[in-house]
Amino acid sequence: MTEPSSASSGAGTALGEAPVLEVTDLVKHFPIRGGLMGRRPSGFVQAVNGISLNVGRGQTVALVGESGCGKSTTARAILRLIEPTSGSIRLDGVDVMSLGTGELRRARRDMQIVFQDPYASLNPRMTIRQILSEKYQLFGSEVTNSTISDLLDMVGLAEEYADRYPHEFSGGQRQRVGIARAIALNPKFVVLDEPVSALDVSIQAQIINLLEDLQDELSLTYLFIAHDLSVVRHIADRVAVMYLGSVVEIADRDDLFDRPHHPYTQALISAVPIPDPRLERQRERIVLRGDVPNPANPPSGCRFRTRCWKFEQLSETDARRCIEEPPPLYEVAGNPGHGAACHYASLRDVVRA
Amino acid sequence: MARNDSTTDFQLDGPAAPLLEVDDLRVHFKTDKGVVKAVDGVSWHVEEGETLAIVGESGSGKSVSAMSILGLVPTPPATFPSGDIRLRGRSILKMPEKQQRKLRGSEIAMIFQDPLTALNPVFRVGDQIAEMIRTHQQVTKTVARRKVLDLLGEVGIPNPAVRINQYPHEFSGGMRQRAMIAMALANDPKVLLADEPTTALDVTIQAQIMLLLEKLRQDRNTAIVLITHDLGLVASHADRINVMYAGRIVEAGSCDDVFYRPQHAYTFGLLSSLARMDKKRQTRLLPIKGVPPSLSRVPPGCPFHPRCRFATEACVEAVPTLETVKLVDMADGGLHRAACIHSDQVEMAFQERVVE
Repeated sequence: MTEPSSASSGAGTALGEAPVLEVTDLVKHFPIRGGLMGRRPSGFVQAVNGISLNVGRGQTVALVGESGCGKSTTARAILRLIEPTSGSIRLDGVDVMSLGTGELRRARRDMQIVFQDPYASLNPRMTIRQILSEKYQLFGSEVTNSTISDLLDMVGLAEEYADRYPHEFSGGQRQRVGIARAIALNPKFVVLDEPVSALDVSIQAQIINLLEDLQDELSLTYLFIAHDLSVVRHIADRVAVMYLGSVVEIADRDDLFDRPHHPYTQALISAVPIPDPRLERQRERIVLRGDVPNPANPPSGCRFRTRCWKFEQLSETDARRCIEEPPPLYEVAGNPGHGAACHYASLRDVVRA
Repeated sequence: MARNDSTTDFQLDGPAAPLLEVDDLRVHFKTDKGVVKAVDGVSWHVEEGETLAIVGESGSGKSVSAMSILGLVPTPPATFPSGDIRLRGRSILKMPEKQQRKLRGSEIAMIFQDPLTALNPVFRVGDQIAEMIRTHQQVTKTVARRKVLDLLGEVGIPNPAVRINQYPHEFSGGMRQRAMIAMALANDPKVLLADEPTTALDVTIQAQIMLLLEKLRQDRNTAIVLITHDLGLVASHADRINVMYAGRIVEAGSCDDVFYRPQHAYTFGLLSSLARMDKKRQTRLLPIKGVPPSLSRVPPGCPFHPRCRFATEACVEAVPTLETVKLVDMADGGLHRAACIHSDQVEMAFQERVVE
């Protein structure tokens, strides 16, 4: 998918202000090397296949999809934690792709990430104070006595926790430390990679509220990676749905949930059970067949067609289009901010029916 | 044995023994840091064709209570200070190990969260399921193999004739879970214990697996005990719900009662802290403060009181018992129970929040 239509590129921003993050045609292919002396790749895993995405200042854009759809790879490629194959990334006007090693390291001050697993992402041999101070030292900022305690206070941790080690904390507290580390240098842009997925239900809400408060206070811009659509509906301003390395639908939050147009988005939303027994009894679930295909050998044309419930209902001539022609992100009628990559996109209410 | 006992269903003079009954079960573990009371006086029962959900966060004791039904909790370190588990009135805990083994996998089967660790990586999937059949039934290898093919087809594994000879690593996550369900169903169990059966799976695969379980319940009249933390899953599949906190049941009732008229402050907390996909712009989430207690140091009185917004001094003094909720306009009077002395306030706060 190489054509970002106006639907994907223009609408992420508010009031004509330039977006903080502009991603165009991002591609990441991982080579598959086989054999004992395998130097030459025998193929490529097409993890990210031409993603275009804008995030406006102070906005939260969510990237959702199932495991293996490329959402985390996209996020890491944007931060150049893994080197993208091609594409352009602009953060506040700076061309991230052209930065050299040293420049990139300095630019990291503005782009940070919070990882899913708060157990694995904190060094067990360092106290919280050391973990957080390291951040300032790396970027040559002054650490005063109050720096760390102010920072901890911001994420809702008491100052006396500063000299403890990560194993003395609960999962939720550790995630607070991870967030403190990310916001320490007042970044412009933060990737939140499944920040609440590993936490208990009662703790998730604490962290979600904290992230919202910090966004308001520091006017942070978030790229929120998640598979939990309920959390996404709560926190995101705009949502992009990914399937097998491509964005299949992108829209403002309420448009996406109330007026989904792509058959995959519809199946995804309809598969999420809602904690409301009466509503659940009246909802019809779209159950997809089979598993996600191998991204090293994706289907021709529309990548979703092998599992698509709509494809099964098409006549042979209509279906041929799905097999032969990869669908671009079409603009959904009457809404320039809503795009769906399906030749036969149409509205279906899947939250309430 | 259990089959003969099922005639008790037709006795009209007394209540028949429930299909599976857990009665005042306590499972304690002796550790260096003291006694961990993983399950502390839990009672519930489940009938044929019914889905009972056991809801709770990590460390609430929900999995341990299921494991002890199958005798999968090693003693020591575990002790069973009190309680009993009965299948159609017959005590499982007091049964000799040899008899317990006969029940395991035939009358009661379990599916686990992580199928990759539950399946043996060095044996073919088909052979593992066949072993399960031949352990409990006197059949030849050929008959067992034919039955495995049927089972794999029934749980929706495409191309069973090829799949039967493959190893677990050749299956995708959803397919492995299906294989494990096939194994659990091999001997047509009466009760299926499903411990977080879809937590490791993607949501579209979760929908497939839950559809499969629902179909099995209808076709075979199996009782399902669904152990999960996902309240959405509970709302769409459970008939009745037990909410567990710190090793105890704090609220029990029908699905609708628990969701629409929660009586325990913890249930209220869980429901209010959830982000909802069907709500437009939500009011701020209402988190439960603090973290779940360590089971070796459960707070005195109501174990939830340090995190509770309704707690008063009375909550610290005595452990509240599970009382039947008496509401004027309740449809199925008497089946809704909660261990909370402030249930009136909880209900009022919940209704206010709904109106919001």
